[in-house]
Amino acid sequence: MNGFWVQTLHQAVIAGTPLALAGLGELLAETVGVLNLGVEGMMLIGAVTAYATALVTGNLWIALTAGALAGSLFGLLHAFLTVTLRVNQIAIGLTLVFLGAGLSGYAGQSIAGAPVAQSFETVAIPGFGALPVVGPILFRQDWVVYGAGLLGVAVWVFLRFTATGLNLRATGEDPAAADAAGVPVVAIRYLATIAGGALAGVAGGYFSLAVAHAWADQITGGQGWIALSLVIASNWKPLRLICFSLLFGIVDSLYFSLQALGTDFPSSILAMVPYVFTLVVLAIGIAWRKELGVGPAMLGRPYDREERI
Amino acid sequence: MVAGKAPSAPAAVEALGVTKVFNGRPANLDVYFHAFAGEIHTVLGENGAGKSTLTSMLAGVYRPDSGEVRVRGRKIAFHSPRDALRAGVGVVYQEFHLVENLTVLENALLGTGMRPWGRKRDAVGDQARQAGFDLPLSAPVRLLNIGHRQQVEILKLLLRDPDVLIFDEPTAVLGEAQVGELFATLDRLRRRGKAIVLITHRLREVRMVADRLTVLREGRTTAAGRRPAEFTDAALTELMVGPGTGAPARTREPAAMGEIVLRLVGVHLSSRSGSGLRGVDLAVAAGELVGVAGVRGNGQREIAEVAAGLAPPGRGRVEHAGGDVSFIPEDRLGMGLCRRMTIGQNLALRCYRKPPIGRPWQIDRAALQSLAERQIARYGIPARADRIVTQLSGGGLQRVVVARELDQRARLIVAAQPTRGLDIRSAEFVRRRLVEAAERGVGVLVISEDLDELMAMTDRIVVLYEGCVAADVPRSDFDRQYLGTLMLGARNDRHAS
Amino acid sequence: MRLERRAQASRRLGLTVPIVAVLLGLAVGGLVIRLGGTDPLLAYRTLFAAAFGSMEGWQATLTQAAPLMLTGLAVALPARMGLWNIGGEGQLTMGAVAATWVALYEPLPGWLLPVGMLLAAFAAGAVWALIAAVPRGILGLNEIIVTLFLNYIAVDFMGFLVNGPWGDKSAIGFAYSRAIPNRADLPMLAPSLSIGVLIAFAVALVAGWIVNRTPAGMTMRLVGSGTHVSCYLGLPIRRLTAIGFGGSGAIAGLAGAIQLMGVTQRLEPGISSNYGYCGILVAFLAAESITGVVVGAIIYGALIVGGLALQGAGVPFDISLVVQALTILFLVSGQAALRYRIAMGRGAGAAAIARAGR
Repeated sequence: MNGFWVQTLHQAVIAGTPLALAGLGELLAETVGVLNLGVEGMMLIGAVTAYATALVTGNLWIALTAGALAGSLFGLLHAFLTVTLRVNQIAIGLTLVFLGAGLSGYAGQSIAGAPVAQSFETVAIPGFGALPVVGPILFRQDWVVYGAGLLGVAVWVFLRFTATGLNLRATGEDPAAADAAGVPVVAIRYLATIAGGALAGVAGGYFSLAVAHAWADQITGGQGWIALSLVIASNWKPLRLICFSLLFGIVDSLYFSLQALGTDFPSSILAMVPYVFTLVVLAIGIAWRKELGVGPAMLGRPYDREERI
Repeated sequence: MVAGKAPSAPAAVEALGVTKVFNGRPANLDVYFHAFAGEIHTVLGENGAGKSTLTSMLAGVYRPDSGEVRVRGRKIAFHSPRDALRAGVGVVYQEFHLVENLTVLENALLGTGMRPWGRKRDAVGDQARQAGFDLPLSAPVRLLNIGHRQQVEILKLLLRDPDVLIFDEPTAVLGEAQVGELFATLDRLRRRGKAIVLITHRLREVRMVADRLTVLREGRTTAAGRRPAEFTDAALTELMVGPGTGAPARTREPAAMGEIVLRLVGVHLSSRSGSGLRGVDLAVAAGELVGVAGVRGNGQREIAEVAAGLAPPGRGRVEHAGGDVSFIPEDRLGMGLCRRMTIGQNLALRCYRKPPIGRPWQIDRAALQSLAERQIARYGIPARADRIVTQLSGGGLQRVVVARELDQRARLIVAAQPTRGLDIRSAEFVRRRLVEAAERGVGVLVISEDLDELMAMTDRIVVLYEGCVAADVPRSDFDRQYLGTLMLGARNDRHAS
Repeated sequence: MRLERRAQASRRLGLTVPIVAVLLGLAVGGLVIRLGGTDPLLAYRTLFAAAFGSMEGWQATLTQAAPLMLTGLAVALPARMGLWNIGGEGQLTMGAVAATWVALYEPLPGWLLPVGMLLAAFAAGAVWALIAAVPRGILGLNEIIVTLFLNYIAVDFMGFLVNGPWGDKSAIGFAYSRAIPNRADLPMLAPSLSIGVLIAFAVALVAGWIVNRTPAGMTMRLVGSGTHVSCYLGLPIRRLTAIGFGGSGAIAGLAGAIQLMGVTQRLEPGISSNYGYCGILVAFLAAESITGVVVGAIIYGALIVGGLALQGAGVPFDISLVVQALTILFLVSGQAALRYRIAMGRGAGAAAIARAGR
């Protein structure tokens, strides 16, 4: 395989990592029944926070942590409004997108264009890193990439095999039954939403530091929405989510590479691909494997213990 | 108070002189109850006798106003069901709390803090086998039939290792064969030394499975801890229902009857929360007031919906003589009314699409207002037409529904539990209106758990038991004892001993 | 201590809470503005003056308000039926696309052209909305998610058209389509205000009439109350749902046509400009009342115009976004305050479990 493809695919993995991180966060939130449409805003706020922190401290890991904190604050806000006050989740999510976009654009004015000197260190996995083709693509990446992959596996194990994971899944499917069984529904919804925000923040931070290598207004340009679509395309399964993130990372990477080559491929068609792809995958999944593409039964609905009058 | 066997060990769970009052009405009055390990103890009673209140106190849902609850001889004050579970007392309710999309294993382990795989999975499998269940642990619950779902609920309880298991009308939702399986399970549990408390109203089940029984009537114990063999069915019925008084005073004259306005032929309809209908034949003529009696869960809800034309039967035929059907549903606020609308709008729900109120591009507000005022006056609705309907109490809500439905001038009225929860005046009012409708030549079908009410108003009573018509009794044969026995499923031979 | 639902929304607080909420939002927003180095009072005065202080200001505000009114209605109307249409963005875009197609490829004579374009936009919006409803009916896909995706597909599709077959070759900077013929433009009320706003008002009036004063409006309410009452009354729920969804999509499509024919005169990426999403917010704030949507659209339009003016005065548009978001958050929290009250003590859990035993 010639160098062009190896390089493109290597980039694809990097490009797919923020999608995977934000997607996993959203998957956790949706598993407990919270539809967080504010991912884009949380990624932006995470991106600007991380980038600014990197400029100030020079330490990329502190920067990512700061991004996570910013994202989790937004997550906390979302949780309070939708779980406790039971305001409509769609409205809050959209508002948080605006808030995140506005705050980050405003706060990021002074740092726009300033380059960050550091970059994430590439670590080769001993043995695997030396494999032809696959080596440079998958096994000579930085720790955030490995972290995203490991996180995917961890989330899968967590949800499927642990008692707390079971509690999460029950909360999203039938909070009334979960409540009756003693599961702390409110606490779980809070924690999952905050975690979702934190991961979106990290995703945004990594995007600005490792993918775009810059901060600019609205820099994530819709990645948050793509992450949302990924969660659904993967039918809420973490391992599939990782695979799809890689795929979409390839799409992104191709776009840049083709531009660099000077070809004239219509970019809008390329931009449509993730969404059409999702719908097709969902349709296939439903028709062929009888999977219901609806997600947790109570996704998007608030839980009110006294609801039944 | 306790006859029969002398206790060699303290009761697994007992209630000593407990009293519980709700809104001034005593649900349990000085009740004594003892259940021992290794026995099945049934609690018998009609609707409203206080069975559920008693078991709720044993299970920690309510605290008794006076008297005490003891577990293994020690006085306990439960603050929540979780306390009761920890003390070893658990309940299997009629309404299941299962998460449809999770597997049997996951549902069983939910909330227990145990991991749904590996050794814990095997432990669950063992428990299920010991109880005699053949459950597919990896199947999602939504694929299970109702008998298996109940088994999952029981399994949930068993995993918490209780000493006392309380079952609230468990056979209500089961078919014949499944009842047999359930009782086999109960027998196994009894042999393992558990104390089983079984709430039921079906005498046949008592004969099948009970070691001892306690009978409640209107909150008091009429028999405590006795052996079933000590009583005939008639005697038990009397304990549950009160002494027979024969036919009550008439409150209406029989009217001339016209053609058949409603006919059910061989109707089957399955149900999630009761027996459903299992082959019902029924006919109502114009001018006839027919009552459907029975304890809740024997097909009442389904017969109402089929008769009103809301649910097509699974098998069999329903024939209406044409025209609209007026339906007074059991669920006033959820089905019969629109919560967000005003009283006036609710009164017009059947006719807002037609003139004079409904024109294609406008609702004639004046017409609607005058209709509303007319009905408010005639039916004694205690509020103005522009108020939101949820402001009304039960009596007021029912008056709105009755006003609207009766105004339709349909040839058939179906009324499901029309006086449940109403104050005395409103209840009287509703009954009077239904009787008047019958006297006007309308066919009326009233489904009610209140036997006295049915005996007073109707020309005929059809008793539903386990989804079938146990008997079709003309007014001349009305007898409280007899009807009560039919409702409880005892043999319908009046001279049974 | 816990939150308990009120039986009926409190009237006493009904007016004070929204006002307090807006003031809080402006106050916190003012803090953010001051952090940016501008005097908040000056900023707000500029905003107000820009939006309402002059004829040009009013025209700009109403121009922004027109599509917002329509996209707001496109959310508020189906909400009464319990449906969520958040695909306004895509429906608007496809409406504009359809209208452009008619203008560029089917040049009808005389006044038939603008009318034809409006009708095409209406139809395209309805179809785009129904596309989302079909997967819901057949496959059970959540309509929220499908409409969301269709938004992106629509915008990207338009991008493809504008960069490709319909593109204006002389475009520099960003791409846009060839201009529509002049006779396809909407007549103007004032130098920078087309009759689009009148169309929007008219639609709002008709919608308000239908909802409040016709049998159809009552039917909508009934469908929205849940399946039990609708079944009880024998209403054709599926058909009504389709009509509701399609109708709301059509209204959003109309917004696209108005933008095309009244403001931009050609298909360009900014034509939608988040009107779809802002429409959702307007509908929420209006608590689904039609009058509320109209008023909310005008206020929101003012915020946009004011924000742009502030940009000229050195306050970046991002801050306006922040103020908008904060105000919405406070308002929405305030609405929640009206529905609930703080109660002391425990109680809900046992009652619910007891109910289970009945």
